[in-house]
Amino acid sequence: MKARRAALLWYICFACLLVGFTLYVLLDAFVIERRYRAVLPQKTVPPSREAVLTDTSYQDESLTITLSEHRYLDSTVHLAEIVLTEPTRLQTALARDTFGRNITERVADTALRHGAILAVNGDYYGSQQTGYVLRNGVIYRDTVRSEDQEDLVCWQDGSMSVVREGEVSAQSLLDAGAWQVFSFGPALVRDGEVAVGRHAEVGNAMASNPRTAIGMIGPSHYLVAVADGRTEESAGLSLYELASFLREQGAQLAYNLDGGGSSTMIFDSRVVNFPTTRGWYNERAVSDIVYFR
Amino acid sequence: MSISGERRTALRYLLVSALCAVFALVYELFSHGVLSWYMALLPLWPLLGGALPFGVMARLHVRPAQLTRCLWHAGLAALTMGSLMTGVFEIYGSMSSLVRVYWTAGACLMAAGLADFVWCRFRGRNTK
Repeated sequence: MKARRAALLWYICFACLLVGFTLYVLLDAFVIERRYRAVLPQKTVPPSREAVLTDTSYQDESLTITLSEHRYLDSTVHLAEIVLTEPTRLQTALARDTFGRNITERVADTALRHGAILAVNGDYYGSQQTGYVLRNGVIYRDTVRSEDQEDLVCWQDGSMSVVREGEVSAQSLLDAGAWQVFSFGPALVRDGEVAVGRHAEVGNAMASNPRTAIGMIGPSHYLVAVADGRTEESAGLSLYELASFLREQGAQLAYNLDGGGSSTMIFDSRVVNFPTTRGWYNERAVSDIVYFR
Repeated sequence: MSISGERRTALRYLLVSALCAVFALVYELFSHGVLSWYMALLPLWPLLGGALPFGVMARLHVRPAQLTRCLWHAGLAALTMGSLMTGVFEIYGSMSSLVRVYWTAGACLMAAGLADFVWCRFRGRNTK
């Protein structure tokens, strides 16, 4: 009887410990904010520019943005074509200007604070504890996620390339002139050809979904695409379909960013696409954005 | 506890396995097509780690000691939770370094339980 009582006490204590630890793991992963580092403020104030702005375009002396909407395989894809003469006008921002975990903010709010003309969600670095984070020429994280992890590098000369984290360090990328590094992937288009198989997917996702991607037609000539999905009007795209679309638009290189409920495109302070969660309109708070100003 | 206790334990684990299967199925249904093998194979932990060995012990009329049971049940619970949490993070597209605690603790507890079972067999303390 004593042994049975002791066993019962053991089971109760262990169950409490297991439940308590599980709650902590979930809170740590999804709720508890951890601020590791504040983003350094920008040193220069952007010059005032004479710009022409319409509902679907923006043009000044060094930046041209053209928006278009496409129907592709039962999905609505919002495409922005960007031409720059100053490559550093491709910028990134972190939610609430803080590098950390569970630090999130709506794309529209981050974009507004930074005066973005065009903005999309980034690679949601905050959902991971590894993977390079290099933004606006500053390294925030240099831990390798995996040897095969493909990162997109935006160079200061306006070109883009895809590298593997196992082959090059974040510091060496910075020393070589990297301006932005994104760690999500995979690469969708390389040398003008689709680089993913028909059944390739991010992680274990094997379905059509909202997507965000960034690509390059040539140096300082970019494409940014956001595909709506998970609604009756727009089913979403697989990675292969997204890659095919971008290739058809002329992309020589394209890279997949965070998708699903995160996919959001902002132009002139308004949401251009239809971001969804469970089929309902919802602008998800994310950890970082890519923008042009 | 009578010999039928092992059969009761095996049946309880079968029920837990069924509940895990239902949970995994519902979770995958709402995962927007994201598949995680850790979630899909969740029911196998209580099935192969619980129902199967206790079913065999009931057949062979082997009754493990109380300490063996405590360690084994706790370890299996930890491994099952580890599989569930890994699946949750994989489906969400995130990760947590704390998940390895489940695997480590579960493996250690089950190893300790197995060691105690073998020791008791050696000492003749497991009853037939």
